[in-house]
Amino acid sequence: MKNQPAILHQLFGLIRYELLMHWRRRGLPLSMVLWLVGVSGGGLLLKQGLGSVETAATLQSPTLARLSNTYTIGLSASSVSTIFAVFVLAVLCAETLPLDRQLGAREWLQSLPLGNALYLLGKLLGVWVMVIVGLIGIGSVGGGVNRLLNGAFDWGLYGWMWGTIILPIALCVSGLSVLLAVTLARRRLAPFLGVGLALVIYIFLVPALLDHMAGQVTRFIFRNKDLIVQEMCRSQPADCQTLTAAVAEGLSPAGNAVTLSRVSLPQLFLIGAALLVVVGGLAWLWLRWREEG
Amino acid sequence: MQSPLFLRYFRLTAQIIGWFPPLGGAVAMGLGLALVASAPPEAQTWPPVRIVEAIVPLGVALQAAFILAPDSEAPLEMLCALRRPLDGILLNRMLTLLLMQFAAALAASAATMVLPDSESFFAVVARWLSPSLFVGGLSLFTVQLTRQGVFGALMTTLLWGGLLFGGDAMVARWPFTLPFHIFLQPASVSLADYVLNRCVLLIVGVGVTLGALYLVRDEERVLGLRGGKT
Repeated sequence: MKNQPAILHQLFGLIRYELLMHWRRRGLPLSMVLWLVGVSGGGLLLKQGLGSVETAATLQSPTLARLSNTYTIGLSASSVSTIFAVFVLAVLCAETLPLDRQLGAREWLQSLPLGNALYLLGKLLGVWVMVIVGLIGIGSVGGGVNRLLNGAFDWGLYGWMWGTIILPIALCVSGLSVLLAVTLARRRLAPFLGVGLALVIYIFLVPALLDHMAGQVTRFIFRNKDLIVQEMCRSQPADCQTLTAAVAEGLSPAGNAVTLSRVSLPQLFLIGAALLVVVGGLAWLWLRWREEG
Repeated sequence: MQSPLFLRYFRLTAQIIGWFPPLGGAVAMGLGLALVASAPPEAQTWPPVRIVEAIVPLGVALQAAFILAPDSEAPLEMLCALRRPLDGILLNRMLTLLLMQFAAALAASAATMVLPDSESFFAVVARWLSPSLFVGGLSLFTVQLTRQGVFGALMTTLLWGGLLFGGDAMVARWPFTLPFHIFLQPASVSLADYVLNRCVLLIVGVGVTLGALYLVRDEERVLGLRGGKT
C-alpha cells in the first residue's frame, strides 16, 4: 500500500468513506435485505400461482420439474430485481452527493488536494462496490433459498440473468442517480430526482430488458424441447402423440409460447455506458463551474 | 402593506419544506395527461385519471419523509428550544405540504374532466385523497420512528411501486388485503368495498400521522439522546 500513487490512495479512501456512509445510514443495506426477500419469495409465489397449469408429467419427472423451476424462478427473480434496481437504487443513491454538501463534508474535501473528477469517481465507485457486493449476496443467497423452497433449477441461466441484465441495469441506474444529483444542494430534493430518473428508465429501458429476459427464458425452454417431449411421453405414454403435437405447436417460433427477443443486449449496454460517460462529464463540468469558476 | 401573519407564516414554511416538489408533481401530471390525451385510443394503456392517482401519493409521501427528518434537519436543537412544541411545527409543515400538493392535485383532477371518458370530480379526488394521506402518514411515522429520512423514502417507494405493479395480484390472492390496496380501481370492486377501502386508508393515514406527532413530542428521543438511532 505504501508504494501506491497518491491518487490511488485518495480513490480508495473515498470508496471506503462512501461504503461506510452507506453502511451506517442503513438505507441501502436494508433495501437489499428486502430485495433478497422479494427474490426468495417471488419464485414460490409465482410457482403457486402457476400450480394450476403444472401437469402431472411435470410433477412426476425431475427433469421437467427442473425446467419448470428455471422458468418460474428466472422470470420472478428478474422481474422483482428489475423493479428494485430501478426504483429503489435510483431513490437511495441520489442523496450521495447532496448529503456531502449538506453535512459540510464537500467544503472540507475541497480544501484537500483532491480533484473534482477523482471525487466524482470515488463516490461513484463507492456506490458501485456496495451495489455489486449486495447483488452478489442477493443473487447467491436468493438462488440458494429458491433451490430449497422450489427444488433444482438451471444455475447457468440464473447466473447469466444476474450478470448480464440485473447487474448492468443496477450499475447504470445507481451511477446516473449519483451523478445527476450533483446539482442538488440539499438531500430533500434527491428522492424526487431519483423517482424522476426511475420513471424515465422504467418507461424507456425496462420494457426492452424484460422483453429480452422473457425471450432468453423461453429460448432456454425451446432448446430443451426434445427433452420435454421425451419426458412427457415417458410419464404419460397413452397421450404421447397428443402431447408431442401440443408441445411442437406451442414451442415453435410461430407458436404463442415463444416470444424471441427483438432487443440487442450489446446495443443497450452501449447506450447505458454512453449515458454514464455523458452525464459524468456534465457533472464534472458543473462541479468545475460551480466550485471553481 | 404587510401581508397577514398566517400568509407570511405559510410562505416561510413553504420555503422551508420546499415548493419545488409540488411544482414538479404538477408538471409531471400535466405532461402525463397531455401525453395520454394525445395518444391514439388503442395506445392508451392507462386511463388519464390514473396518472393523477399514481403521482400525487408518491409526491406527498416523498416530501413528507424530509419535512422534519431528524438526521437532516440542521437546526433541530434550536427547534427543540423554541416555545412552540415540536409537534406543532411538524403539524404545521405537514398541513402546508398537503395544501401545496393537494392544490396541484385538484388542478390536475379538474384537467381530467375535459378529457373524453372522464369520471366525476369527486370520484377522481377519491382516487388520490385517501392514498395520499395513507402513504404520507406512513412515511412521516417511519421517519420519526427511525429518525432517518431515507427510511421513509425507501418505504414509500417500495409500497408505491409494489402496489402499483402488484396490488391487483395481491388482492386477488389475499382478498383480506383489499382495504390496504392504495390503487384499487372502483370498476373492479363493489361500491361498498371501494368505500371501505378509502375509509380504512383515511383512518390509518390520519392515525399514523397522529402517531408521528406523538413521537416528536419526546424531544430527547428526536435529538437521539434516548431511543432511536443516534
